[in-house]
Amino acid sequence: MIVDIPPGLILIIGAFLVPLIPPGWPRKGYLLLLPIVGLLSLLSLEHGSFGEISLFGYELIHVRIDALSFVFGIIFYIAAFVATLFSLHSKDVMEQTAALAYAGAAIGAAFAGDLITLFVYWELTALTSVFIIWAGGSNRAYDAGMRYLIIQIFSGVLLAAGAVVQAQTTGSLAFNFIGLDGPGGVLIFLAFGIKCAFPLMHNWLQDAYPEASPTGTVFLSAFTTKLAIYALARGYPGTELLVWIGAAMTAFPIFFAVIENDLRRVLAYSLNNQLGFMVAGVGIGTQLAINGAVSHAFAHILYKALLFMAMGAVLYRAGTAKGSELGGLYKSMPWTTGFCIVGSAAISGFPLFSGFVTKSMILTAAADQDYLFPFLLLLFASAGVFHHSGIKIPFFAFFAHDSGKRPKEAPMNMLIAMGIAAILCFGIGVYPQPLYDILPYPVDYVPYTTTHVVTMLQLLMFSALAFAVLQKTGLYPPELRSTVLDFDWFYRRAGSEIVRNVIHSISLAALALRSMMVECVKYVIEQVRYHSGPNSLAARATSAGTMVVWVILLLMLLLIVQFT
Amino acid sequence: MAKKPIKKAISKNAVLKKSTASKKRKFPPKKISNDGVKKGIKKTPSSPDKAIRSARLKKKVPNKKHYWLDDARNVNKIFYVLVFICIALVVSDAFYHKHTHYEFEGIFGFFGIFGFGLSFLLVLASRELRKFLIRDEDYYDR
Repeated sequence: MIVDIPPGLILIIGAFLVPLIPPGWPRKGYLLLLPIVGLLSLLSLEHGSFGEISLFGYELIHVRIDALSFVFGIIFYIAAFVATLFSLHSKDVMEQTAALAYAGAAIGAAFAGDLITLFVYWELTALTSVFIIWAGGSNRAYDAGMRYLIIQIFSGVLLAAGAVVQAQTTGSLAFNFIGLDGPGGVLIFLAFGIKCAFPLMHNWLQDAYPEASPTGTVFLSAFTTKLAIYALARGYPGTELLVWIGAAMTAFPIFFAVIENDLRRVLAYSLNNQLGFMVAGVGIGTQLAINGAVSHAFAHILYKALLFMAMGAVLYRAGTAKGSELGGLYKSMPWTTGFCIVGSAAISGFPLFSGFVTKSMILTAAADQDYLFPFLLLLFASAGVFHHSGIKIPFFAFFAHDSGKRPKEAPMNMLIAMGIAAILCFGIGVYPQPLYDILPYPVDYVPYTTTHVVTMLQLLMFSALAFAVLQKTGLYPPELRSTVLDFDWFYRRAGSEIVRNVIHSISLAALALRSMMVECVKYVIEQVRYHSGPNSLAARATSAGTMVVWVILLLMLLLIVQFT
Repeated sequence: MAKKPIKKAISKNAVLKKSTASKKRKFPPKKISNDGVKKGIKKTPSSPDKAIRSARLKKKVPNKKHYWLDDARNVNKIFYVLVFICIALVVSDAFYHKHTHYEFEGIFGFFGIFGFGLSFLLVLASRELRKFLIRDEDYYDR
């Protein structure tokens, strides 16, 4: 590259040219080429920063490439490529444009060297991604998109406010370690926390992602939350609070994942649970833990995209992704089944798959730092992940009772995209060294020891045994068509109910007040009418003669008074 | 008023589950095999529900190909293989030196017990949780 182009801009500018490219093969080629060009240009750039601007006395750094941002840049480009390939059959130009711009915005944010640049890209990811949700096309998608947009924009507003306070107190806008010491740090922490789906701030994720189109969700799953992980790793490494938040995040979504019927929503819950591992890793903050969090984000983007692709393919072909409607699809979609199982193995952390070589770093780091309770929670969550993502997803979609559905195998572009992701999941698991080499800190960690392999296998196989026993005894809760309430009930139901009640009572009060005032006015009119209306005393007509008589009488009275 | 139909659905489903318990159960979805055994054992339907269902199924399914997993005995085979693997994994604890951070990790078969016990409890807890949190599918659309 002769000129250094900011990495994110290639996709953003490129995305807005998509509608101008003739549809068909030229457009498909162009869509695939963009992420490749972006990735190559990123690889050609040297570590360091450029695009520095001075604004109102503050240094803004548009692009800062270092070990941490580099890893995220690479995986974001790979994810953009795979997801684009997966959606190549789609004719929805709006979704394609929005998706590429969204990927570009996330990449731009990952390379932002200051808080203002970060804020701009941060809001851009929200604005572009909401179009992907709306591309789902249903009324539910529209409503979910609205809620998503409000929450995401709010996160951006918090970030901007935090940046301003931070600039006031420290005199710098640079995006480095922030910490929770100042009020600015807390505001930015909350902004990151919303995007990272911290407990009780998480519902936008499970609400919106499953409403997007089969292809859109693959894009959504990759960028927003992992960008937040990157931001936390940059601004808050070693913050102990994060260990506890992360441990809570790994544990509570798995209960919902077990009972949720929409399999893409199950994946959204398991996405939340996986984020918990990364958040805990960032919180532990040792070199091993940060490496673990970053590499887990890397591996996670691939296997989560793979699982969303498999469920997307099912939704695309069978018309539904609900566990209660599916089953027995392996008979007609064997390839998709196979890829889904690879994704399941990777997310569960089976030896030889990517989750194993990355998640075990976080677990080891937690034990190293003597976080006993978080360690046990993470262990429990590892077994739980296998339950809902490892077994439940493939089992209810492809096996279980035969639904009688025989959808066609997924289109070729979907199969190739899933194949690439599956190969990467497997490849990283077998040969993790290339991934370890690009991590922020030197890696002195051997994943394949006898202890690791045997203990992990014990954990997983016994978890599988529990599933089998529960199924055999009929104790396993059957998949039901249902809505499962989560925290969003408070703002989707309770909140609106309260607002409705308040408005109702206000309108009742207003009605009462109105009728009271009408009564008052009526009374005044009545009184005026009584005193000054026709026939009233004040309005009675009298002749001039009467007046003269009265005057004479008064004068006579005066005379008598004067002369006596 | 919202709860009634679902409660019914649960009990109905549970009955259905039990009646089909011996059939079509599949454990860890690891093996997909297309080398169909031509004559899968088909038991006679055990309840009227089931009969209607399988009749409906047959109509819908044009390809009558039988798959290895259609046979309940093969599903059981997978289950026994799984049990065998679990036993082997526990036994293997005796043959190597565990490098652990905490003492309790060194307990014989700790990770197996932990994995089985907690995921069992996880499912039971979720089952109970669902009783409180379940609503109709169109709950938020109304």
